Amino acid sequence: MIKSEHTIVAFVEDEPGVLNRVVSLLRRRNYNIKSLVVGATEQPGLSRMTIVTDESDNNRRVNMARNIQKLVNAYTVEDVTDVPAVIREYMLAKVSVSNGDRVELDLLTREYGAKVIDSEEGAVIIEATGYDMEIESFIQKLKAYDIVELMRSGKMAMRRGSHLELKAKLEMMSTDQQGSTSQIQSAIS
Amino acid sequence: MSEKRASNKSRVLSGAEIVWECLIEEGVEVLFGYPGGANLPIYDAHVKYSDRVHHVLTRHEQNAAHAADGYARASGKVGVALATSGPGATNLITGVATAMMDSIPMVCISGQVGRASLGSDAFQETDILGAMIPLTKHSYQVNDITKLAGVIKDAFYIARSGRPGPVLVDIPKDVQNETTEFVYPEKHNVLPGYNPTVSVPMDQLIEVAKMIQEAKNPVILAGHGVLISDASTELAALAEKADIPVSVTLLGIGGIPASHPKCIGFMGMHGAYWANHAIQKADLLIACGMRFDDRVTGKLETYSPNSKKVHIDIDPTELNKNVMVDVPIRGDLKTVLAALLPMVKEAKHDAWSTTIKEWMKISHTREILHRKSDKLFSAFVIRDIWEATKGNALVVTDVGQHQMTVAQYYYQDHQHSLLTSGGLGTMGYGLPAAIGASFAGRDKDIWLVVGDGGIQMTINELATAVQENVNINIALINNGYLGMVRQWQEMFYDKRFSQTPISSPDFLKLTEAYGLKGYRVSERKDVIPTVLEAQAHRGPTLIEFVVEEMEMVYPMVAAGADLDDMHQRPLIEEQFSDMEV
Repeated sequence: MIKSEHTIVAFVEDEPGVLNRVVSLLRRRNYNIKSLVVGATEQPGLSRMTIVTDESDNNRRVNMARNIQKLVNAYTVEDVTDVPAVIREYMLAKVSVSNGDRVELDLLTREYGAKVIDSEEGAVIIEATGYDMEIESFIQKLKAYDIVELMRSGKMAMRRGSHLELKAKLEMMSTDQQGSTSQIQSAIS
Repeated sequence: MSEKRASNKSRVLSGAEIVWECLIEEGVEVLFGYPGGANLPIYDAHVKYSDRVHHVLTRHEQNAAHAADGYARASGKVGVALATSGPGATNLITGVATAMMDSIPMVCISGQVGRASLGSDAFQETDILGAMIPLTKHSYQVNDITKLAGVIKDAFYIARSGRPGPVLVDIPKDVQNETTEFVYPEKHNVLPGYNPTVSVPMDQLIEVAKMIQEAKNPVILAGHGVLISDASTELAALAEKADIPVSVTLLGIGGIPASHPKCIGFMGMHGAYWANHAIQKADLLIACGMRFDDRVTGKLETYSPNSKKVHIDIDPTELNKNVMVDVPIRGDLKTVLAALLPMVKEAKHDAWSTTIKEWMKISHTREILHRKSDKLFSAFVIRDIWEATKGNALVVTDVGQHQMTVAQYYYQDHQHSLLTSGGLGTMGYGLPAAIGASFAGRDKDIWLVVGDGGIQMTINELATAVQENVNINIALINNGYLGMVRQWQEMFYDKRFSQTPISSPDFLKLTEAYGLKGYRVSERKDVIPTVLEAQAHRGPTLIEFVVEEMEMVYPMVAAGADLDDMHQRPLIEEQFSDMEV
């Protein structure tokens, strides 16, 4: 199941409508999105998306990254499916719990490195982060209790190691954009 | 935004004036459009600029887009269309989709409701940006007048660079009315992730040269990219040096002269019998600037099963999309072929040439041009127009049977001289595209070949042709049917001609009403004299050719069949069993 997932990280312009363009493209090219997370990065004006699809065909995987790269709003795209990467998600669960069960639930929460972040009469909200199997396993255990609400953030991915090429590339691109040393020329004039 | 000053002519101008100034900066001399509520300021400003930019009033915004497309194909410049918001903008869509599929550089400017009304379902408001995202190469809505000039600069750059395509610039009405200091940026400001130029991958080319040397039955597939990249010379040089036959796609016609000894003609669903057979039996395919459309490949699983494949295209998303290849090369075709050429050894493939000639002979026994018949077949008409125009016309087609007949029988020796909607197959394209092409300043007679179905989709443009007094000649092939659909019904739907018989107005009366010169021809002997007469006439002309109703385009590969599994023109008794010949 994990093997059939395809995960890419896209660096795009932080402009209104860019998410629309990416999603519209994936729909049009018939890719099925399993999760998509967008957020700010260390560089102003640069958004980072982690996109997970269930695409299993290798050529279509390559072409998906190329298609996103082709969007005028894209800086660069990395495929992190087959490279060492940290892929994590965040989960919030509201569990209805009686006082008697609370001790056991606290133990379970601690076992998964999760945290009770809200506790009202009769219900607690638990947050957890981890790779998908961990979250999956935790949810299975929580099912012993009464889950009132549950949500998962979708996955965020980051390559392991220093991977300084990426930083260099993005920095070069943003200087490039100031119009100093662009190598871009019109192929056809 | 680049801060560099283009020149010393910074002035305070309205958004509407800035639009015209930018168009002039980009070298635009003509554009096609239709006024309305949300682009009124732009039209009002045109009064001041009308001597520098000629505006052609089409009779529908779709046709403004098609005309801009035809102008772009004929001139090599960026075509420009202008529409108002709402219905004006949505009417552009078919024209934009047509241009996108065929990689045509175009900038479409649409008016939009004022910023304060955006999202309120105001009168004539439509989310044209949202609608155009999947249909354009890129799209903009300009909500800040200080960005307007930069956006237009970028739009033109994106439209013409790399793989060309249409770009939308949507401008709210209040932005058109606002004023700012106008400075045209010297340089575009497109993100560096958009990089249409790439270096030539020399290691891949060494491999390709080796594959060419080892091949016994090689074929070059030449697509639209040959024309866009201006790679005809390099292509012909490669074909000559390594003795490789070249087959062209519909949009690749003219990329190598039809009379070139290595040109084996048009491939695909209605391609030449020998070209399709050569592709299927090849041991090496070198695909140049084409995209393996389903009309070109037939059944993918059996497509050219024994060949190694090289695919050169500027758009990396085309590589390994439909046909998996051994060597995918991303690059500008002209640059790649120029680099490849010195690595390729001279070769001769005489046995292969002989084999292809044998296929030609088989096919020629069924050639309709060899028939003696009093009937007027559309193939005769196209063949005679070719003769009368000495093969030098700029030919525009619509979509359908006549389009395939032109591809087969107007032997095109010249680049950028066949304008046709290939990818989208847009009926109604022909007439407005021919009008657009007439503004390209080409020293060529323009012949539009169009069917009775297609012309009725955009026949309102006859008024535009007359108003502008354009020199276009219309060859209307009238068979009383939506012929291509009728052909499919005959072949695959047991001759149930559902909704394909189509009536027409009296075209001679119609041309008189619109005020253009009209002719009617129903016998072959009159074809050439009438074509010559029409061509000598200044201003638009229309010749209605009343042709055989039941004519079919052969050969044909059924959709999804193997590329060499071709329906050939039946021998004479079979084909016309219910007609006298």
